[in-house]
Amino acid sequence: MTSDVVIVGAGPAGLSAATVIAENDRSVVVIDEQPRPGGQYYRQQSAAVIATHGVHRAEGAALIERARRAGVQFRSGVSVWGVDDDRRTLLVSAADGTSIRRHLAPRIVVATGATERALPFPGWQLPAVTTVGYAQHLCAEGVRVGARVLVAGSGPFLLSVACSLVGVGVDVVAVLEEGTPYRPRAAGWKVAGHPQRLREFAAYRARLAAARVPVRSGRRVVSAEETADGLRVVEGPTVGTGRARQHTVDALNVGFGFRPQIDLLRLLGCGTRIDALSGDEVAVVDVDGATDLDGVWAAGEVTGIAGAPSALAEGLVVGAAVLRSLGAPLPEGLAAARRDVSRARAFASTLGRLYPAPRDLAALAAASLGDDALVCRCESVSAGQVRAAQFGGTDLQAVKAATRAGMGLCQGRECAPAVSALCGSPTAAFTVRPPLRPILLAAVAEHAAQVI
Amino acid sequence: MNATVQFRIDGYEVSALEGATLTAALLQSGIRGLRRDPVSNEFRGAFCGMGACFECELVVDGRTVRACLTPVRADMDVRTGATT
Ligand SMILES: Cc1cc2nc3c(=O)[nH]c(=O)nc-3n(C[C@H](O)[C@H](O)[C@H](O)COP(=O)(O)OP(=O)(O)OC[C@H]3O[C@@H](n4cnc5c(N)ncnc54)[C@H](O)[C@@H]3O)c2cc1C
Repeated sequence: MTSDVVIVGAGPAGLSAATVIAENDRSVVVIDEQPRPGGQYYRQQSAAVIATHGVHRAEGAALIERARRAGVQFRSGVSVWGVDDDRRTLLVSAADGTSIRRHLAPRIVVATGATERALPFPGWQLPAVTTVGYAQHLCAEGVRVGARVLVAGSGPFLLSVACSLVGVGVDVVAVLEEGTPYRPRAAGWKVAGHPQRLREFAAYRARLAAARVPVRSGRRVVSAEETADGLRVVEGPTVGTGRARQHTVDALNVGFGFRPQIDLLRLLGCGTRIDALSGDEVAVVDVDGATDLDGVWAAGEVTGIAGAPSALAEGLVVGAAVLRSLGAPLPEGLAAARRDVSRARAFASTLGRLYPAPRDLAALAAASLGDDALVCRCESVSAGQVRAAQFGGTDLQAVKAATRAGMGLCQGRECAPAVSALCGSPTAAFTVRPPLRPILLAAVAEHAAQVI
Repeated sequence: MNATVQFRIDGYEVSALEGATLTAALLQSGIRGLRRDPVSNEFRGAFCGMGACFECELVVDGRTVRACLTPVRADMDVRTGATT
C-alpha cells in the first residue's frame, strides 16, 4: 500500500487536508481507528441509525462524500501504534490490536485531534460517570446517557452538551461551572468582536434558560457515589465556604476542555512546546503547519485547541503545503483559510481567558483529593500512593515507575493532568512509548514471521 | 430494510440498530458496567467514548475490543466483565 501522502486522523483537519490533496490529483490515504471517518466533530452514524434518528451534522457527511469522490482512500478501524526507525513507516494494527502491518508514508500529516481533559474526584471511576464528549456522541445517535443528568466541569463545551442533552429529552438538573466566566469583564468585550460565535453562545444560554436548566458558576463536584436510588452527587463551591447540595441522577457528565493528542508526533520525534494559556503540550509548527521534521505536517487540535472551524481551515493550509512539496499548484481559498485560522485562534484564546486555567483546575482537583481517592484508573493508583512516591522530589517519571500511575492501557491520557498536579509540576508530561495502543503479542509474532 | 439486528449480551438475546455504537446499545439495554477492575473487582464503564481510556473493554466473539469503537453487528456475542 503506497500513496503520496498518509494522514492520521479523519476529523475536520484530516478530512479537509485529504480532500484538497486528492482534488489536486495526488494520492492520499487517511487512517483512523474510529469505525467511520469524521473524527469527533463530524462523527458519523451507521445507515440504520441515520434512517431512524437523522443525519448528525450533514456538512460532515457532505465533506466525507466529497473526499471519497476525489479519490481519498479511507482506512477506518485502523490504529497507528508505532513508528519505525526511518520515521517514515507507520506501524498500524486493527483497532483490536490484531493484523499488524507497516505503512510506508513518504509524507505524513498528523491530525490526531484531542482528548478530553479528565480530572479526578471521589467516585469518578463509577460507570455512571462519563465525559461530556461521550454524552454528546450518544445524543448524536439518539441515545440518552440517562433520564436525569448533572453536567459539571469547566468550559464552553458544557453548555453545548447540556443543550444536546435537552434536545434528546434528558432532564438536566444543572450545569456546574467551576469558574465564573459568565460575569461581564474586560475579556468579555473582546469576545464581542466575534459576533457569530457570540450568538452561538447566547443561543446555548437561551436554550438552557428556556428548559429551566440552571447554570451555576463557581460550583464543582465534591464526590459521587452509587446508591440504591441512583448516583448521588455532592456539589460544593469552587472556593471558600458555601452551601453543599446533593443530586440523585442516572449519570454525571464531566468535562474540563480538551488536550491535544500529540503522542504520535512525539513518537515521530517532532518538536512540541507548552502552550502558555492552557499549559498543554502542542505541536511546534510553522505558518504552513510543517513540523521540524521534514515531510511531516500537523493540522487541527494537535497544534492547539481552537475548535472545528479552525481545524477545517488548518487542514486546507496544510493540504496546500503538502501539494507544494509535491510540485502541484496552489489551491484556491488558501488566503481565506489562513485568515480563518487566525480568527479562530484569536477567539479561542479570548474565550479561554474567561475560564479558569486548566493548571488551576488540575491543582484544585489534586489538592481536594483524599489519600484514598483513585487517580490512575487503569492501574488503580490512589492519590495517597502518588503523594507517598515523591521522595521529596517531583520527577513524574520516577513517580510513574514507583506507583505504575500512567502505565496502564490509556498510557496516562486520563490521569496525567492530575498526577502531574499532585507532583506539583502541572506542565510535566509522561514520556510517550510504543505501542500507543495495545497490540496482541500473537499478532506481533505473526507479523515478524512475515517480515523474516 | 430491517435496520434492527439481534445479538447476544452475556447470553441474553437483545436487539439494536445495525451499526449503532456497542456502548450505546449496551446502555439502552440498561448495562453500564463493562469490565471489572482487576484490583478492586468493581465494574467500570464507557468514560471517554472515543477510544482513549479503554474503560469499555469487553469481549466480542472471543476478542478483546473497545466497545466504543465497535459497531453492532447481527449475531455478535458480547461478554461483559470478561477481560483480564
Ligand atoms: C469526545 C469528543 C467530542 C467532541 N464533540 C465536539 C462537539 O460536539 N462540538 C465541538 O465543537 N467540538 C467537539 N469536540 C472538539 C473536537 O475535538 C474538535 O473541535 C474537532 O473535532 C477537532 O478536529 P481535528 O480534526 O483536529 O480532530 P478530531 O476530530 O479529534 O479527529 C482526530 C481523529 O484522529 C484519530 N486518531 C488519533 N490518534 C490515532 C491513532 N494513533 N491511530 C488512529 N487514529 C487516531 C481519532 O480517532 C480521531 O477520529 C469533541 C472532542 C471530543 C474528544
